[in-house]
Amino acid sequence: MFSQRSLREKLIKARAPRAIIYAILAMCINFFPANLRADTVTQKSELAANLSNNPSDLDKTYKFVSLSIETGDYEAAIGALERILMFNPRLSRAEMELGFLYARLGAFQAASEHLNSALNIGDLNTSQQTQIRAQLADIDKRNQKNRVFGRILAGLRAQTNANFFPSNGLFQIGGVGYGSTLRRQGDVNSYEMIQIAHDYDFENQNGDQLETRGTFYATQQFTIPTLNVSVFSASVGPRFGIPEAPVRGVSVKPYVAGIASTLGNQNYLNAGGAGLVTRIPITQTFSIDPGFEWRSLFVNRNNATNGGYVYSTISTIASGDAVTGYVSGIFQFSDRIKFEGRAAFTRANAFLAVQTSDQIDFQGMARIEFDPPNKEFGQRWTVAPFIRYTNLRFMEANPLVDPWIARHDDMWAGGILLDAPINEDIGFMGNIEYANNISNISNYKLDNFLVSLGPVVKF
Amino acid sequence: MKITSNTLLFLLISVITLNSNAFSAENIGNVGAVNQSAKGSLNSGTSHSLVIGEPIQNKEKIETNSAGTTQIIFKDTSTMTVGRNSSVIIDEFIYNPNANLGTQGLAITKGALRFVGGQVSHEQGASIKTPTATVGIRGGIALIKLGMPQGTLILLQYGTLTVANAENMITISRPGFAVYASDSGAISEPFKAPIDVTTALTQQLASAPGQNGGLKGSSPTNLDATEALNSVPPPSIVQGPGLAELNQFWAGNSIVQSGANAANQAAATNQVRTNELILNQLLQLDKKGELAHIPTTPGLPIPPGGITPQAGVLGIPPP
Repeated sequence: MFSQRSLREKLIKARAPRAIIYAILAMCINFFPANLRADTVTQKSELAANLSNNPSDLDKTYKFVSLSIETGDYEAAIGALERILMFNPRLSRAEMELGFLYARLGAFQAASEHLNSALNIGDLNTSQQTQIRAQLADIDKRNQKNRVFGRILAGLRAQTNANFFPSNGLFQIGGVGYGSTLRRQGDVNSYEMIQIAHDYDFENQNGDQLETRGTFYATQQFTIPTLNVSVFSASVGPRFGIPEAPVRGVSVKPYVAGIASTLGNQNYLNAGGAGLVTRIPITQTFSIDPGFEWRSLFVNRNNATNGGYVYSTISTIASGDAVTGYVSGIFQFSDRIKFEGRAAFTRANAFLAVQTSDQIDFQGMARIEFDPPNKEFGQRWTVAPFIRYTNLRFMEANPLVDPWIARHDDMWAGGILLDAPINEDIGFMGNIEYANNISNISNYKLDNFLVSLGPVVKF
Repeated sequence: MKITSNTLLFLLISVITLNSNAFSAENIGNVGAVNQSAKGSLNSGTSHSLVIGEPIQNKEKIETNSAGTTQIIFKDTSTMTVGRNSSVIIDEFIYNPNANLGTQGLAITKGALRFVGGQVSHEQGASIKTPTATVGIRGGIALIKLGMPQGTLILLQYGTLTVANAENMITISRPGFAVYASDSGAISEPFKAPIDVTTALTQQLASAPGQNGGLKGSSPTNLDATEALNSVPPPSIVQGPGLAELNQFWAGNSIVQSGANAANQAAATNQVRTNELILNQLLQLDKKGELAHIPTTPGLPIPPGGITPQAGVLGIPPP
């Protein structure tokens, strides 16, 4: 294993490429879960032994609480804070910390009690009150039978290739290559996204609940209105806990889902289907959600943007049905770093054989949380680098494009997402992304760079 | 000196007795806080008022009156808070810190307690006997209150609890859920504990106004606590935008790209057709010998975005 000291020495001696690697490792090691650091664990054990004999040493008790939180031993921290509260039952800072710790353990009722007590005592400073209020609404929702969570995102987005035009302007038309004088078009658009989630808690100890999810997303292009898009998607299904499962917290959710969309302000894709997803918490910090889904798709071939009735046979999305097997996962690497990932395979069986395709999709994101620039904001900010790879393989060649070569794309995308909450209700989200589609047919060799930024309202 | 068999037997018993005493006198934890009156006693001996920091031993009985509460810190960092009007016996606590192994058994005969688990309950589990059921704790944090109208209240705050008696066994796995174990042996189905019940229970375990947990010296202040504890915001309960949101953007872009692919193909093909039509017109004009008479200005109506055939013939027949 690398230690910070050995990394520092290697960093000094290394040449440029390796120095970058060592610098990244050194940066990561600062975010490593502290329970991997032997010195922290040893220090905590020594403090525990010391405090057992001298429990009224407040400085050491606070240190023990901090180290326990750092090492993920929230129960030890709770025990120590409950003791401090016995020394002073009106110590709002201890009530506040206890509330947050109970929330981390999923004991939302206890969390709510302590956080409300902290506020009611009335001597917390403004930033501490903001921190509590930023969480309390969500914690209280978890205690309700009917829970509604919502988020509205809006903003502006600029793209260098809004019309997804081939980078070199070359087209295969019936197997013959032509150079088009048409060009890619950059454009700016406004966007809005409304996400609403409703959970109806059956209030049994398996955690069974009915989950309803709805999302509306729309864009308005400034110069190419034919590429305006709107998508409404919804799903509903019960989630059942499986207490007999060998792993605690396993649940299964059958669901039905639907989607309706417009392109260029005309109806485009409509789909409906059903699926089944399972949540398996492998450990306390790692869970996976494997599932599968079937959808029936209908694409309006008369949509004008879609190239008209004949050329709609070239579009990637087509009428037919699609079967997807997927697995998503979340790994809480440390208090401040979380990894998200998703892998999916989709077989799209189109009514027209030339539009039948297989797609493999990999997505990965590292969510790195850091302190906000102003304490008054009350919540951590997140910067999240992400990467995506999609392999798209059509089964048959499309004669309109090339009668002899079936399309095969490898798309790479990467970027960074920023989540910057300002208070419990409002924040900002920004995104920078570069995507490059490598295809065996020139028509689809393209890249696109986009930047987006806008406010987020949570309710 | 002649050593008889009786002497050897006496010596052996003495050694065993001494070892046994050494075991029973082992310090298994300490009093972390205490509001009087809270008393401790061993082997039904005389009781004494507990003092903060005082060692606790196996088989120690802890009793509180209507004003008394205490917290015991065990060697594995687990803690037990004994509420007012309560009686608890530490049946057994054995802990090997090097192996993180041990056993932990408590018994409550009156009142209320909060148990917050440590290494033993994490690894092997701890158990708390009540008059109506035995509670197995994996993890975790549990609150127990005897003498409720429905029986003994057993509430989970974290981890897993197994509540069992001769007739029944129930597992509680969701934080905030509880069961009642009645005198008849019945154990209720787990239910969400009402807030007023948990609040009353928490109050029974807390220091009353004016009490200071036996602390000698000044009480902890908010200023000190704020300085000593990290002021960093905790992680959010609801995660901010992530892959789920990006997938919405990507889904929108997939629809646009799907349509744009077709539209671009149509536009490019139409360009070729237009160029081919123009080319055919030019060829026909050339055949008639009229090409030379066409003025160069304003010129041929070459459409914007004209296309240049690169090789071969047009693959798509004209409509």
